[in-house]
Amino acid sequence: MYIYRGEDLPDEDKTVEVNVIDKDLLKLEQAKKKDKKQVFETLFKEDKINEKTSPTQLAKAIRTS
Amino acid sequence: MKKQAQPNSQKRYELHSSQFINIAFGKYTNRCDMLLQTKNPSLTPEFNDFAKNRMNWGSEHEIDGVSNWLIRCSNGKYPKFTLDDQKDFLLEDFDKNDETTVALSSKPDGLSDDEKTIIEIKCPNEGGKLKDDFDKTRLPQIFVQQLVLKHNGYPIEKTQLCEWTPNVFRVWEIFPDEKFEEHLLNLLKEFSNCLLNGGDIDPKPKRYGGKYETYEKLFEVKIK
Repeated sequence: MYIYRGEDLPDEDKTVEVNVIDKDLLKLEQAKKKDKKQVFETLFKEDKINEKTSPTQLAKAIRTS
Repeated sequence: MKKQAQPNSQKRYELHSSQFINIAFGKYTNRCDMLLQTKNPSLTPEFNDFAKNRMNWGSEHEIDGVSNWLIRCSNGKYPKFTLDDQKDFLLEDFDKNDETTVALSSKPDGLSDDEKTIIEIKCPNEGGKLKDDFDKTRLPQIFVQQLVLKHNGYPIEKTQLCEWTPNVFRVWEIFPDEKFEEHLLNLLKEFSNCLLNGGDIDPKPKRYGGKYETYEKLFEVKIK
């Protein structure tokens, strides 16, 4: 018999509202939609977006609607 | 699937790549029912709450998949046709007769800046555990997506299928597979032929007998 132990569920709820606190990501968040590509590419080139960047904050920063 | 009126009163059916797992293989809905529903969309059953919750979760978190792709796969180049700029690509006249035409359509989650890589984001299972292995049921959508974009002039070399949960981000690379594409296209032609000309269709064809050798896991990371 299969006993469900909740193992299919995420460990914790990480989907709560996130505020962008990284000042470089703030620039991206505040950029107009048409400028986000350029701002992102500049920040990446300057290594201000890299593997240490929070994906959750970046997601917030690229959101346009 | 959409049926749209044409200016010259020609009937038009549009088959979307997300449905090819059913249209070609009858996986979750058999192909007889798919034919009926394509001809008469009002016969398509409403999604139940389970399916709606999964779709809503996927839509809500697509942006998390994109942000992880940007950090780990983009090489600093922002992709095209992503998020609010997604585009439905079409392959018109996939099959037709005097009265009716069948088009294939596909809306990827993004296209790399060099236009060689399709980005497809999946946020499965409402954030639950990912399957250990590659989910082959995604292949019909992926291969037709590659076909449709190539038809639109993009030099597609591969798809990066990105799976996101709150805990894990995993990317698979899927390269074109001529044998599987041929098998898939034959099944789609069979379906569109029945759509155009009537006749019987095998509700659930035999499984593909060939090997799947054109995908590999690129990486998997835990998200803090």
